Amino acid sequence: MPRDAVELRAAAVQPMVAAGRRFWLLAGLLVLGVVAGAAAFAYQVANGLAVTGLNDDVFWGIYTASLVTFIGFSYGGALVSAVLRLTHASWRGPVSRIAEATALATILVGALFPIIHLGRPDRFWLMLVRPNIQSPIFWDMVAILTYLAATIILFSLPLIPDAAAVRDDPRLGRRRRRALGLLSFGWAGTRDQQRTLERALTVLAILIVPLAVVVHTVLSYAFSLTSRPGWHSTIFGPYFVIGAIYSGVAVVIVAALAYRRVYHLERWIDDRSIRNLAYVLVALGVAYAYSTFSELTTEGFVSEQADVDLLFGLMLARYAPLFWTFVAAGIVLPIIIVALPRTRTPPGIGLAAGLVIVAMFIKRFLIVVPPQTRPVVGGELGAYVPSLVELTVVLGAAAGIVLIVMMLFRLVPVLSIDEMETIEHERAAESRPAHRAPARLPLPADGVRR
Amino acid sequence: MNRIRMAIGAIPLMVGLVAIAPIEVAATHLGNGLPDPTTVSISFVPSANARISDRVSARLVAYDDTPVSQVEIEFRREAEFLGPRRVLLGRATTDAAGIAQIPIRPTESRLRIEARFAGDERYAPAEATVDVEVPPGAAVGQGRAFEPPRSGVGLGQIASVMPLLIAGATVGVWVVLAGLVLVTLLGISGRRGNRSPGKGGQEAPS
Repeated sequence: MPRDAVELRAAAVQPMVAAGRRFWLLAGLLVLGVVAGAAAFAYQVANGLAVTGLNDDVFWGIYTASLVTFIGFSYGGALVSAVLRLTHASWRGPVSRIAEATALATILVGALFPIIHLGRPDRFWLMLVRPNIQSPIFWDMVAILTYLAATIILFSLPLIPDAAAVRDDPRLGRRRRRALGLLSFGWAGTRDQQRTLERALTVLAILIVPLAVVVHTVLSYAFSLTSRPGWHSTIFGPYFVIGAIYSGVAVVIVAALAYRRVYHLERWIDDRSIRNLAYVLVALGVAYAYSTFSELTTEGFVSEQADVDLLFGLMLARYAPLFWTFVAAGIVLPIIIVALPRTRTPPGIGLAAGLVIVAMFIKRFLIVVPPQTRPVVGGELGAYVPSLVELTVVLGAAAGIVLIVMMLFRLVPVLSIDEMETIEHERAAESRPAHRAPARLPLPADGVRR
Repeated sequence: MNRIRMAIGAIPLMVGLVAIAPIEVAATHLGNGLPDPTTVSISFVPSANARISDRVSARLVAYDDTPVSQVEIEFRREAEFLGPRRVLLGRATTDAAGIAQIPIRPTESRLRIEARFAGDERYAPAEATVDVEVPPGAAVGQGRAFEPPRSGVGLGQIASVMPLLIAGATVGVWVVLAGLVLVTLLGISGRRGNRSPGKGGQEAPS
């Protein structure tokens, strides 16, 4: 086995074998967060939604904002992996496994939020046994479950050759080696096996792109198919989709930088991959800024009273601090940081991505809450402040996402070994001097070309 | 001089307008601590001129038949798109005669319109419905904005087709996903010969 291949395997299993005191301390804190979130949810189930800040006016709050945010994160991760695979981007190798893992962790947690939001979670069962097919919420559930299945497959199939690559590593312990052996499905790296896997991954990548678009569009329909000002908008489908990829790419960047730094993977998750992800982030940021501008301008220019009230609250009154924080941290600063060569460094890009994650959560809150504060049939402006219970549940969920990612990489390699080797193999084959046909055919013996 | 003549000419018109203007009569409240009962009546007012919109008019009166002014009436129409729903047409405030009206341009030959008063601290809620038949022949001839229904096919029927299409697509995706996993795993676990050269890769399983 070439030295590079040995070193790649060693680097890929680093998080699986090198969990120090700091790892377990962080994991312990995250478990505490998850337990606190679960306890807060149990308290909510026992006492009803009265313990939340939700009320007659604002019936969707931070839980719905979290649903949109977390599923958006997932979408971005899946698309980074799928689109880069379909376009044969040579820099995808080091980040594709991280993208797939963040996609899986965030959809697993995000999909829980519709249930968390129910005052009677047991009634979720009724969605399955007595579905209302006219309701966007029902199709939301179908779309999310389908996308969840596709994400699990997207994470699992590329693992097969990598599981085979590391299943004999003695540092992994007997149980993990046995599990990896099962997961490798007898992979021996034959041409047929490679062809079968490659074909399956291509089909899956093609399938997951429209699937992810559908999921987020259907999610946006939960808002835009109502006649409420601020929600009833034709741009909401693509607006949600762009926002989802934008925040999802930011999550992939932060996760990749974290693993790169903690496990010293700079040689593998190189600056080029991080920089290219940053370019994707900026392109999406510009698209999101354009969509936001288009959405607000069309509402403001027509100036129907309800829209004007909403825009006033958003830009100049109650929600102005949040709105301008979103504009600064979610659009302006990330674009500037990545645009300037001096700040386009891994720490700078990490900062930009972190800002995007926070700002996009704020943006989802602004999409969900302010339109509900203006009553549809008269009365005073409503108000909503998330309660401690809601905040604890959301923070517990966020802790759960980080914990799932950390635990996933205790079980499987953090780098996509097979994919990186394949890319390297292709690159080497391309750089080899090709056999060239002579420019002119040699003349026949008689010297006459016929 | 012309201006003076015009002003003098306008006097009878202004007097006439004042004469026909409704006089506001304040309702006498029952004073039992509860909102007074109200009644709303609704009518469709077709326009004789195709260039001018038809109107839907609602009149809100209190229990003693006095008009209730300065309250908002909401107009909705029954619609069918993926099943029956009530679509908001608009809102209008009642005038001194208790009348609120909005312009409407029917896009179907048959409409069911609802006027609803949501109620407030003084008056109880009320609602009424009117069925409107717009003669298609005359309407199309006058350049109205709808086409006559063809052989009983309407948007409402999408309600029965769309869920089937979506459900079919969903089942299709699940079948593809399941098939993909099955074929891939069978393909990988069943084919172990013919090792690939060049990638310093995996050992063959013992």
